[in-house]
Amino acid sequence: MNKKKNIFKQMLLISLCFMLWLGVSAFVQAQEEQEIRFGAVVPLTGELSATGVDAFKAAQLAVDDINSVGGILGRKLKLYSEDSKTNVEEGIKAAKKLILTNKTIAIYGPTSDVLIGMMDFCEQNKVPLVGAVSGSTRLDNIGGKYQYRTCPSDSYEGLVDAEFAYNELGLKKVSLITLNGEGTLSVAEGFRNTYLKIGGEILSDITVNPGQATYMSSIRAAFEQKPKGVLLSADINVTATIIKEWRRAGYEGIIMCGTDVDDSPKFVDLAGKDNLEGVYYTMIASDPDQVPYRIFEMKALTSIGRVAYGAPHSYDAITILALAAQAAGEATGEAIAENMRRVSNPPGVKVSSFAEGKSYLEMGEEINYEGASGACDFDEYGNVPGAFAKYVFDSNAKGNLVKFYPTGSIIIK
Amino acid sequence: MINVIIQNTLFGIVTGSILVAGTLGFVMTERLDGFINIGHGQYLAIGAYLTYWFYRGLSFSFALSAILAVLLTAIIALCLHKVFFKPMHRFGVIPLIVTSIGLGGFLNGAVEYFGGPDPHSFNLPIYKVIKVGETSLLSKDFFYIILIGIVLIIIVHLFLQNTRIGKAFRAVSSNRELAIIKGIDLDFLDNFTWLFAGATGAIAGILLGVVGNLTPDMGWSQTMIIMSVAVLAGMGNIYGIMIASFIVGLIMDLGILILPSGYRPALAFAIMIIVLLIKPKGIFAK
Repeated sequence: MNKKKNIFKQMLLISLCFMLWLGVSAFVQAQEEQEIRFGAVVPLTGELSATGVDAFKAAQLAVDDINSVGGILGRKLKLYSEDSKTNVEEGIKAAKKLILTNKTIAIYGPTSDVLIGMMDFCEQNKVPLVGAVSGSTRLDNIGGKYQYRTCPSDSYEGLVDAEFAYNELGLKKVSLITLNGEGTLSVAEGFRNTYLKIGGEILSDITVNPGQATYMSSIRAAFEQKPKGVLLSADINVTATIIKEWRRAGYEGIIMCGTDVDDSPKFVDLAGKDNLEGVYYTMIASDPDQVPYRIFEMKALTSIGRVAYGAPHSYDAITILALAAQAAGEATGEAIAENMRRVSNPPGVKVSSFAEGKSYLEMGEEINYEGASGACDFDEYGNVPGAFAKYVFDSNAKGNLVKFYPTGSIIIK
Repeated sequence: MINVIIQNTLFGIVTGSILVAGTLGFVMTERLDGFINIGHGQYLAIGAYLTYWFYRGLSFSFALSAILAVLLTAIIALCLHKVFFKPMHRFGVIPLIVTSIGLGGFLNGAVEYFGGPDPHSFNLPIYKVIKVGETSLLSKDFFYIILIGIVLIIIVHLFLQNTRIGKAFRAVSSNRELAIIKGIDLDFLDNFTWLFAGATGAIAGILLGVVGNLTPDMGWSQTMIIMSVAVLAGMGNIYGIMIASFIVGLIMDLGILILPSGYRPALAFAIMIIVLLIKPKGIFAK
């Protein structure tokens, strides 16, 4: 009798466990079907990771803000992230995983070369792709349907760098050292075109390859004609190596870096804290007087600790994608792509957060999102104009703002 | 112009000194075991990363960190030989080369796993370049690199000429079968050579870290240049390696006086291709 009872108990227990498992599975599946999935292909490691990690945290901040007001169309937003390792192949693999396995309907975040590498695949799968730190000039005249970016083109950076070198620093003759890579060549090209146009002279124009053991002879070639300044457009590894060798060689003149470096601990450690004083660098920037930026800055300083390069642009990329889905009334890549300009360009009520935009959309109003990074008005190729800022390292390797260039402040004919 | 030539010549000698350390072990293992170890470049990365770990992670002095890294890399090279290469020896050269490629990939992944994919720096003090009149020479640490290269050459020369192991190495490398018949302890010699390959590879990696930064791929990026030196010298010619290292270093650093500096690494590969076309056995082959 006892034996029969035991068997019954065991059967009951197994049945209960099975039912519990079925219940949990059904609940999880229902939750997964409910959530809206965005993907992030971001440089969490590799040459551009010094700023990539904190910029990604800003995107997560946007997701939290969206979910805190009920999500998109009443569904929670989930951000699936993949590390591009600042590498094109890894980025393409990441995009395939996010689209085919994770079923994400929109992707944000890749750097220029990675974005160019994955944009066709995204378009084939009708997944909108928004870059937040992809400034390559190669993107100036392509995209616009499934590819957008919330950061300005490097051609704007070229304007700013050239104007700053020529007018602010008074450098009439400079040399260029450029790393052979998509984004870095693009920055140098923008600088070269503008600097020559405004009357500057380029003494040496040197391209170096990544992975070289030393850059001693390249630096010597750049400084041979005694330029007053050198524009160094390279990733953090090559920039750090060149700055150390420049200090070692004791050359005179100013080094100006592109947007790949900032005063992140990672870069400062690589280049050496004592070697950076007087080195200039550029940042894509937001107008510090604009309310949306100040709100974002407060949030970022509280939860991340700093406003990293590309952080406002990452926040805006996620918010615009979410508003586009909300405006479309359906969460598909195709619908989001069709509504990107509708929510971010005029006409419409100016809004600066997802919560605000969502309320107006629910009231049947058209909206024009202007976020932490700026106006976010996409042109026909999905580009936005943008602001820049020039910084200089002090003796503690901290970046100090030297000049802010608001959107559209420099026009060189 | 003469100042420029002097300075680039010195840069070339620094590059050559690092290449001497990087290539010696590669060629000695080839000479002894008859196959090229494609994964040899990874010993450079392992040596550099171990030094970084001891120096920055455990706060040892740089000299002690470097010595420990050299010893550990030598032991790692020996262990890898015993576990992977020695058992494969009976299957011939091709399986050995394939094994070395696979092992190189694995070691590269291991370096990235433990060291992370981001670049690192030893963060050593920067020494100013010494100037004589208008001519810039080199900084103190770069002179030490040349010194290390020269000392390494002298040690290898004395070792080959004056020690029993060195003479045994020469005997085996010129006629392996005859040397075995004559009673040379091949196992001992094999162990010694792989230890040496790991140690010299680590030295090259540390020197690369001194002049630049550490990246997980630093081993791969040096492998082709090491092979260029070996091909130029004629695989297996130890004395040829010493000269070829400096030739490749000088061509790379003097070549950019004529060509754009982006072609610096390509010059090393151009040397390899030209030598393979004109004198496949290398210019110093006997």
